[in-house]
Amino acid sequence: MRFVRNILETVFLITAALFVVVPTVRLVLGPLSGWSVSPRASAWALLFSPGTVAILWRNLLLAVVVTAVACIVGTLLAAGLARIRPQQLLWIVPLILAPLLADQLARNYGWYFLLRRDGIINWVAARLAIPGNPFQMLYRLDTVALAIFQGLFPLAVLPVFLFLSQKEARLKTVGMIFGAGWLTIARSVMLPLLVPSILLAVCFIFTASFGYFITPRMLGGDAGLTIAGLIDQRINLILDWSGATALAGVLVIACLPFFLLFLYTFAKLEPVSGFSGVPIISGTRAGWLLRLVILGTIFLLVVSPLLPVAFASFTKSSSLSFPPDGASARWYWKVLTDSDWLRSWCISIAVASISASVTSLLSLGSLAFASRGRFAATVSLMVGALPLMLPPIALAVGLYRTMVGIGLSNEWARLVAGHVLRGLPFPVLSLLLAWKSIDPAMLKAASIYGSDRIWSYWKSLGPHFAPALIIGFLLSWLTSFADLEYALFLSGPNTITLPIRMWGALSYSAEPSVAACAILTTIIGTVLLFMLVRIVASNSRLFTSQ
Amino acid sequence: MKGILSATFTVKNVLLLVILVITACKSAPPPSDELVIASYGGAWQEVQKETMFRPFASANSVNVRDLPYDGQYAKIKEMVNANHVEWDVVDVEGNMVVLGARDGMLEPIDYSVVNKSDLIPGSTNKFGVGIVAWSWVLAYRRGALSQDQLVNPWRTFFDVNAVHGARGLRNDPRRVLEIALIADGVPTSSLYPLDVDRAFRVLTRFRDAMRKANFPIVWWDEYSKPPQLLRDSEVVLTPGANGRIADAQKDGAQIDFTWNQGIVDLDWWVIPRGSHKKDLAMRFIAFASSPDPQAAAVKRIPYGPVNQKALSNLPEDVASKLPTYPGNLQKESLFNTEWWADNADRILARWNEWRASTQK
Repeated sequence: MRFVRNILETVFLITAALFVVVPTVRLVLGPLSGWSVSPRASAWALLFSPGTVAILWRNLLLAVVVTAVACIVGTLLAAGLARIRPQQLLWIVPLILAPLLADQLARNYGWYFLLRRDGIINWVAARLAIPGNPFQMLYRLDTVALAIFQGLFPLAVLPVFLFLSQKEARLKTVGMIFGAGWLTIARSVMLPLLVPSILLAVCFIFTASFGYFITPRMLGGDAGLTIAGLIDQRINLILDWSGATALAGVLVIACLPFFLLFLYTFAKLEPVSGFSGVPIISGTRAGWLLRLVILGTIFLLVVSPLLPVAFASFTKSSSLSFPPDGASARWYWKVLTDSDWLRSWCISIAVASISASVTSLLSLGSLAFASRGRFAATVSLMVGALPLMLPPIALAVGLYRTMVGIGLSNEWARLVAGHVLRGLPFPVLSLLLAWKSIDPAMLKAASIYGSDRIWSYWKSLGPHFAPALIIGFLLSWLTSFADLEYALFLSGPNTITLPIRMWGALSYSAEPSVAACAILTTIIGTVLLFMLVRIVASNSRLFTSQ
Repeated sequence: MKGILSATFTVKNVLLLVILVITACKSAPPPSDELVIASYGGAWQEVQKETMFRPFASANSVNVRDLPYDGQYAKIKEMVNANHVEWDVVDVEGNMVVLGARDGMLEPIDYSVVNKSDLIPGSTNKFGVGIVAWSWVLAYRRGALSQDQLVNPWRTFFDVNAVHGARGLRNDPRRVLEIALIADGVPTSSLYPLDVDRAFRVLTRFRDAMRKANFPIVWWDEYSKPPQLLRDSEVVLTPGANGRIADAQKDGAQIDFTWNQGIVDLDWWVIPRGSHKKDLAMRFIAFASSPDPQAAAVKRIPYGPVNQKALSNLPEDVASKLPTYPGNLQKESLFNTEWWADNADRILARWNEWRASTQK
């Protein structure tokens, strides 16, 4: 067991050094040689130019609004979820993860169909004769924030939910004993305790949304100008790498406070004493009205942009539109029979499975390493969280340089490494979060087994870590499956993944094959998730009810 | 569950995995019998595949693998710098030819292999060969404009009172500054060097007038957007690429465009420096710019062939719908890639500032 532990740790540390730290350092200090059209000095001029500064403010505003929306809605929904019967949760958890499966570009089209001037919402508003219609809903800060939030929904809900589900029952009981009403319990007991996990969600959401540019650009109009968009402009319009790197530095610096806050909050997380470890989700059932509201909200959030896309995918015509022209399954036929598309399906599934397995293995290494002490824990955490903080394109370039530099230029290896990098935060953070929530008494009890720290307690603590590992695996599988940014840069001629294929079809002519593919991936993925959650639940007593 | 986990993490399995990963990662040389071509994806790449890639592959009994990319010049740059070139031929925009040549990223074209004589002037560069020409034109909802308004389409576009309703514009200063100047009366023959101050004055005036009239300006990035925005009545007027507008018309969309004051530009074939199949790539470019594939491609999608023979071999009703058809070309002007390559940095800074200066 100790041998395995050492191997895992070593693999984790080597991988972390090679694929996370080196690319980042190279990126920041890196050889900016021979890359730029403009001289280095103009990179500074670019940073402090009025345009960049103005866009930075807009970008910050957008990220703050997204974060605020995510915090409020996410916490409320998580609070609601923690009070729903475990059997129903089995249905809901896959639904929460589903938005990650549908292609981001296809979802953007869904929002466009819903929100445009002649769109679905305005059509309904006109039928109901709501005064003021048609509403101008696109190209506004609030709607683009909503669309970004929808894509980050799982990140907003899961940390709070995981934390809450463990505390809810006990605390509520304590509160009830003292005769407090639910509002008092929520305000004076739950909220202060929830602050750390909400802060974690804030860090995730802020840093993730700050680097978004495709959704803001498509739906945001003037409110959608972003630093990441400027980076794209520098790289693709004038091939100015030093300017792009400087702008990436701005992104990193803006996210730095959140990174530090994240490390601090994480270090301060209090273990829950008296936690039994096994029944993660338990507690009282919510009333039917509350359940209806929670489920309804989640359903609306998840499904609303996908429904119009689903309708549009059955069009006869060769461009995506709503309402669709006629009905046919020709685009489904194409996506499922065309040899290029088929190959992409296989590649995407293979790459996602390999990279998610590797990330899970590495995350076990990170857990083992973290248990060595305070400093080691911080290192694990930083490595785990770093990829979330940096713009994907910048990190992808850093990774590419490093891998080609050490001779690992095989396209499969590159793509898998990229997706490992991208997916690593999820299992690492969820495992570390689970570690944080272990009762010290539990550790003591486990130490009776006679060896050191966490790793060798797998027998006793396994059930505690299994759900976190599975959630981490799922999230990294899904991010790999849906990833476009890393794949565009790291894939080679034989590793064209599904998102690249979809991107190609959409950017040239808005081909409905993309809608068909997005719907297929969502349906297949959701079904698989349902099955997986069921298997996990029956195996690990994850969702045992009291 | 416990059983599964402990079985997975036995020493043997971990070692096996490590060995597997290491063998898998050993860098393999790129396969040598395959020509790899990167293009922009979608319908255009399918046309290229059927009229250029496949015929070339079967005529020369080689494999051609094509892949979509997003115009990522960073990727080409990194491949060349690392001396690990995976793409042999790439379909690029004009600025890539200019900037790529300056950066030493491209192989010079061997014009003893590529036959220059039939290609239209301006479509042969030391480092690239034109593929097809396309035109940036004013597109509109059918019936939104009168014949008079089409004589000077960009003036109509920027005149808020001439046509009521939302306008689309590309979120990129290239060609937007040009049409602002044309609308302001600058003759197309003396467009370059662009009077940037004047162009921004026109744009600011336009933006203020639009806001006053409460018509949104819809900013788009991909050329797939203009036909969609028009079809959905999101905008009444927008510039667009002629081929995409024509595709949407074929699909039954009630939209139209005019050749008047269009701005013509080319797509290019380039070969990244250090390609292992330079000679084969050169032969492919020679094939792709020969009359037959050119004619076959533009029959499918209405771009202008760079090969004059292809144009003259086409029936009149097909040829007259192409941007390089003499009758259309005389109404249009040429995009100046060189000027933009020299000035894009400066103008982008100003453009971003201008875009961000709207009051909220």
